[in-house]
Amino acid sequence: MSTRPITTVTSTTGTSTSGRSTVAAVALLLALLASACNPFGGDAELQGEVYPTAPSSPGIANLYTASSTRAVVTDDHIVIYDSPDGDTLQTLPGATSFGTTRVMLVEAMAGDWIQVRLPTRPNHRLGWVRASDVTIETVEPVVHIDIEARTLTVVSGDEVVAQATVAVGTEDNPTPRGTFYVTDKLETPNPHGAYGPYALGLSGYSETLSEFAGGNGQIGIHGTNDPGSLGQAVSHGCIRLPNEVATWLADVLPLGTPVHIV
Amino acid sequence: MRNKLLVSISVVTLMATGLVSAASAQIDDLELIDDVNELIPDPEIVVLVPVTIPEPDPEPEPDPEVHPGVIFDHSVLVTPTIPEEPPVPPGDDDDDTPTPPSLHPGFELCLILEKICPPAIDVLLPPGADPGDPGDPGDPGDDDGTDDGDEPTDEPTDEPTDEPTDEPTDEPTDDGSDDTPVPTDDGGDDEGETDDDGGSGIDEPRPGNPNFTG
Repeated sequence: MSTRPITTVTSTTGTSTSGRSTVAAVALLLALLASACNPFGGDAELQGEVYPTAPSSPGIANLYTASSTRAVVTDDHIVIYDSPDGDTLQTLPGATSFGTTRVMLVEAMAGDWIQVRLPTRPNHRLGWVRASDVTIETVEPVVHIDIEARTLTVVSGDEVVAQATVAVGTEDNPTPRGTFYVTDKLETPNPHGAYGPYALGLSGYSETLSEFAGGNGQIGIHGTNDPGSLGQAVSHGCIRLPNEVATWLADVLPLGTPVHIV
Repeated sequence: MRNKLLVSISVVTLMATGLVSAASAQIDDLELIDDVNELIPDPEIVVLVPVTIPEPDPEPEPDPEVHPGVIFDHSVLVTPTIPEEPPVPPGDDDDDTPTPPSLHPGFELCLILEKICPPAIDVLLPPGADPGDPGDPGDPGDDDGTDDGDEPTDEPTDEPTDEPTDEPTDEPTDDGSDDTPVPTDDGGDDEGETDDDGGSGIDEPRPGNPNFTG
């Protein structure tokens, strides 16, 4: 399997952030995969130095590789319907609680209506929005998280571009499974804190914790100040990974990037 | 008799000659007057001259009369001028030398009369002339009354002095506090600028304090 840089977003309006992201991706990938065409084959030396060695991933062949589409809310709010021309389910602000522009992952399109995955409880809830209320853009990279293998893999097209060992939730507070997507990209105030330098918010929520640290139990992908916990099931549901990887993901993954947790 | 006749004749002759000369003189006068009337076209000019001269004389007279009355007027004017313009820092002016130039001369006069005139009046009055003034030093055995007399004089003097001093002090303090939130607003605008960048910049990481399930 060869490697190639990520083209993050292909916008219908011609907007693209691929330039800087491509450079960053190439730089990191060269460091990660310089001597390993197959990162999963286990060049233990490189992976051991940069990231903890990831166990084999039996589900690698089933990685979600199709391009995805995101709906970017263009107004200060977005009305969610239960079906095209149906009843109103709810109205969401045009920005998240962290001030990020509201982006939702598209599941289907039907005429002037778009079905999206809602970033609200309960998990995996779907809704419909008017096409006129959003901007449709294509998102190429996809993130695959294997709870059993405790790995995070980034795929672009049909190629794996990065993989790292992660920490996942405990049995009491497991990481929820299913398809989610990136809703926020935060630069933390303390890069040496529990969340590391960067944290990516996901559209999923803990199914055992209704709130955590003043939040509403939203799960995320973030760095850590405890590298020894990587590869273990020790978190409250979030996915911890090395700070270097968290920094890289914050740079290359666009909002709306699908995150499949299996 | 002859002499009398001669005298009478001479007298008559003289009278006759006088009458003739008088008549001729009248005729000459009449002729001269006519000539004068012809030479002077506007006889009214002669009439106007004496009228304009006495007018300027009464004007300077009231001026010296006004000045002596000023002393009484100031004693009345002092009271209304104090509440009218409390922000004027006249009390500070006495203490601070550089500020007086900014004051109007009228205010300086009022202040001077306010502070100086009362003691001046007391000095001018002979001791015991004002029996209603307990603070009169001329009253024997009225030691307490001397202090009482000083108190009402100091109180009105201190009040206007404190008021203008406090007011300008509070104003710049408030202004400073108003300036403080300005940079805070600017910081909020910066966040908006980040959002504005981002039609294409929405994917840029933004500062935030995550509270995800660690």
